[in-house]
Amino acid sequence: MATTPMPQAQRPARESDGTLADRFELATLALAAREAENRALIASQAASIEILKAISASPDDTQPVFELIARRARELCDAESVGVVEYDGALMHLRAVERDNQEAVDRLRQAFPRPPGPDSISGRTVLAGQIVHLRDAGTFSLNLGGESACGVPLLYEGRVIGAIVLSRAEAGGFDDTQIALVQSFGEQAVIAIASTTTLHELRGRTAELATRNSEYGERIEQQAATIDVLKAMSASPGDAQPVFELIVERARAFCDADYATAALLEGDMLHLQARSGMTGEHARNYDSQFPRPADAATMFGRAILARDVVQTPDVRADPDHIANEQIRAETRSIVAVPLLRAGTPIGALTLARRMQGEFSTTQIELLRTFAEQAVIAITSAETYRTLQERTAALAARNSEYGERIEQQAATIDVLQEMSASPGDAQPVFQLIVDRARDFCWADQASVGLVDGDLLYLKAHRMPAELAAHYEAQFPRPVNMESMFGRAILTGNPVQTLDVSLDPDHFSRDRVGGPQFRAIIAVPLLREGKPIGAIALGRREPGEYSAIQTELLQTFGEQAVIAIGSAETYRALQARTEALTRSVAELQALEEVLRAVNSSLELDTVLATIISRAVQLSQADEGTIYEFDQTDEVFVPKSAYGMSNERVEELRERRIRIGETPLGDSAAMRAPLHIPNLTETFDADSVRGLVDAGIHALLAVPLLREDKVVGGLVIRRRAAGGFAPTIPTLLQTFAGQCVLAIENARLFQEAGRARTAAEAALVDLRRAQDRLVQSEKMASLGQLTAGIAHEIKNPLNFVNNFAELSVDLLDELHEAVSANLHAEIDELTATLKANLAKITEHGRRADSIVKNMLLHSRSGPSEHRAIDLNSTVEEALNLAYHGARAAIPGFNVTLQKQLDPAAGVVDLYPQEFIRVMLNLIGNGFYAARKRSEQSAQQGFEPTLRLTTRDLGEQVEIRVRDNGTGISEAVRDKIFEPFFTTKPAGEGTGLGLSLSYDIVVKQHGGHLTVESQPDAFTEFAISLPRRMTAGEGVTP
Amino acid sequence: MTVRVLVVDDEPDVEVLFRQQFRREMRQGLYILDFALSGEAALDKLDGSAGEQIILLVSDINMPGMSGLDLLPKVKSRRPELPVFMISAYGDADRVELALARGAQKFITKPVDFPQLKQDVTLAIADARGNG
Repeated sequence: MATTPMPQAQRPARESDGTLADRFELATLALAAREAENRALIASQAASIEILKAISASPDDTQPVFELIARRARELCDAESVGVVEYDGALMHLRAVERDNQEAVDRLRQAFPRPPGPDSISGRTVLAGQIVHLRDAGTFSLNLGGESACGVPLLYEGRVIGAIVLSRAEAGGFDDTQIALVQSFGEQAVIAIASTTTLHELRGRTAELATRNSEYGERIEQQAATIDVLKAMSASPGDAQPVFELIVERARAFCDADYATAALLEGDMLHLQARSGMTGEHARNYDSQFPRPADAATMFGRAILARDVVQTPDVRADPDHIANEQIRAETRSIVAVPLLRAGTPIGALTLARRMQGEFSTTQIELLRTFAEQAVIAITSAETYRTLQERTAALAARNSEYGERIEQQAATIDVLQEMSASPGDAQPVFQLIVDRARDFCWADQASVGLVDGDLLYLKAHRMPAELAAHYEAQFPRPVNMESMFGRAILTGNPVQTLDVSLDPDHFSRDRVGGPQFRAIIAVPLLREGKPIGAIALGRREPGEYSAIQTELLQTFGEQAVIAIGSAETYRALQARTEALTRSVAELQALEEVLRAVNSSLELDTVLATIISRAVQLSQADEGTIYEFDQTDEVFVPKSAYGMSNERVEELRERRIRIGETPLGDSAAMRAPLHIPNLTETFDADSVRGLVDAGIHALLAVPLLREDKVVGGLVIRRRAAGGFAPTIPTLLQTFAGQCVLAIENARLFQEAGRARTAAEAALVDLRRAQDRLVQSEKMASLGQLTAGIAHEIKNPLNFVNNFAELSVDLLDELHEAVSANLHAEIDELTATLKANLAKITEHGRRADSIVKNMLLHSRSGPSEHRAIDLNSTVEEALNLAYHGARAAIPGFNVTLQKQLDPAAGVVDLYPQEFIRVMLNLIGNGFYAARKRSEQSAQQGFEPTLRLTTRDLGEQVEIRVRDNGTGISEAVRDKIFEPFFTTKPAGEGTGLGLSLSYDIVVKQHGGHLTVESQPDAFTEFAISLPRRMTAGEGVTP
Repeated sequence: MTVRVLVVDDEPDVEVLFRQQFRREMRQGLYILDFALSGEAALDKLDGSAGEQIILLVSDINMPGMSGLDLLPKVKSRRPELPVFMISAYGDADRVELALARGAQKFITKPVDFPQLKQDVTLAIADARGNG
């Protein structure tokens, strides 16, 4: 049974079992450590027993005990030195010291006795009354020397009576086990001190008694009596009863009593311990009173309650005493002495006489002495019993450890086997049956496990010639016909001494008799539930011993552990694999995501996805298709692990929805997993795949909002399914494909949109240019119409006056002929006036034409110094004529407030006039519009033009009393193409251009103030002189 | 009885021109030409003491303040039977139609054909007399 565990260094290292193997290795190491620990324990227990033996060998001398303690403590705790100190309440005495260096020992001895103080570990320990552990002495100088020390106090009834002090040369101190050992030694030292003290006390008391006896001059018998008692004590150190017997005997004799009794308290009840002098009916009657309460109804009780001697000279005169009639008949006077231990009553002695009367003082004193001896007897018996019990317990513990170590040694093999094959319980089963058969002297051992309703044989060990027949019995039902079944069904170990005599056993009637006659079976219990059994069989009938049963149970437990750890290991492996897989999946997914996000190159992304999909799912090849929405066929877009020819074949197949696994998966909008193509499909329909050696595939549709946009197919040459996580994974990849395709589509669309936008921008710019041009032309057109009209009026006058003048000249001619002087004068004046009118209207026309020419001049103008007032006036006239020409019934009151100081300003006249025309034109429009809308009588549309000299700047204001500009649009009016005019009436460029001209070209400001249905006033401020950087033609 | 033709135009030179053109008719005392420089002035004349004598009104359309077309209904509301000739540089159909719809008898396009105008005035006066 004792098998040495294989040393750890020789155990074969396995490479593949990873964490669990490590765990088992740790377990094995722990076991070995535990074994070492146990050995240490045994050593320490042996030392303890040795010390206890020393205590009993020299009960009156602690010295050998202390020396032994010091020696063993030094050995077992690997200490440099050990000292044992006793403390008498004032001084510490060095009782034993163990150290190699004799000189140091002598020095230490000289340091004692000494009072306890913080300058030594022993002193500290005594003062603290608890363990003092100095792991690193540092600057503290240890009396014992060394760098670390530990002091364990010796405590007796809560008092410190000494200390054991250990020291070590190195820093670091002592471990818990060592300290525990020293504590145990300490306890033993205390026992030694206590029992020695007890013995000394006993002797002292005896000597004292002897002295007292001689002082009293009493009878020598008295001394003899106490000496007898003492002798009885030494004769039966563990039992107080003989002492009590002797005490009552002697007390009755020496105190002239008829009866003597002793009783002890147990809890509240008095128990009679011994009596003397009573016989027959009286004795029985007396005994029957006990146990009884320690109350005032008896002399026992009274002595205990009073803690002092009590006596009654006549029981019959004592109404409180309950002694029954018979006892009264026999007893008249009683004296009782309490048994006091440390002041506490633990019982009492009584003396009684048939006659009434008091006991003498001497007698009472003698009774006291007996009482003291009784107490001493009880105490020492207790101490002795404690000592014995302790010794017995230690011995028992020691043997228990020994057995356990043997068992553990036997099972270490099994554990090692477990760690060697963590995923498989089978080798463990085999080892268990081998070991079980060997250790239990059986012919066969076997393990069976329940699976469903049947029991399966998992392992066995038996002579080869028996095996075949035995194995043939399995699997077999779990019932009471086999020992396996019985163990499993009852959940308890079962054995039969002889199967031949077992009427229920299935093999009893076997031809040639049962294979095995004595069988024991132990259930394998997992969480209390039988999962199988382990059985032993012997060819000869007979019984299996309790030890064998127990061992078999241990093996059973180990088998269960092996099953559990194999399962755990497999679960762990499965989890590790799953984890590895999901890590790989995550990595692949991350890669794919990165590809999708970082590359707009669809081909690159799809190639990444399909390669990762194939690799991860352990497929051989894969294809990503895009669904052509026009032709409604799947077109291969990316392939992995496929020849170009095969990809071409797939393209030419023009797969539609509902055709082939891909089409089916698309139709179902779900992954389609075909573990074995030829089982699912007619071989011809998947000819191409079969020819390519493909036997399994997984098709996942690419869906965008339930619309089929493509498909992802992975294929494998080996038949059989993909791992269960693969379809989901592939769906994720499919999702990424959809994203990638969508991204690419969006990117293309974005590209197209950008091209379109760029084209639109070019168009827009052209349109804008055209608009700007047309804005110019529009204003020019308006002006031209107005100018034409305005020219027409003076021309009409010129023509009319010229024609009239011709007529008048005829008349003048007639008048001259007739010599009509008055008429001649009148005609001449009229003609003169007419000629003046012709001239006036001719000039008027000329001025209008000049202005028109000025405005219509094309190309950038030069900036030059011009007179501001005349220029704005000219612009006002032009605008007015234009408006009058364009608008029937145009009528606006003009107000001019021109500051004569406005003077000359450096500006671009053509652009400036355009601004003025625009602002004035807007003013006319707004004023006229309000006039049209207004129901108000007498509303006079007015436009006011103001100029002001501001020194280095000039200001021009154009104010109308028109409809005004609402707050909402005020911010927008300078934006290009913003207009409030009805469609076709405005280009929306007038103010925008004006703003550019004023601000950008002239470096001025253009602001507006307005109040709806009240007024609008535009203010232009211009620098008189343009500075560098200004004057850019827009 | 004295009859008057009221000519409305914002151009002061129109009076000079008309007086010379119609100098013979005026010398013969056929009618008196009256002039107003605005619609408001014209209405004042119509409402004035000699208002009854006005039997023809000739008005320019393009005038600041009250235009000829504005003046027309005001005149018609006072004197529904009074013939009104409208004159404009712009003989576009809209204007002509608007003027006629508002009760103008004639629409004359500038430059004014004075011989024709004289005939029309003569006819209008004859009509007015006949009616009167």
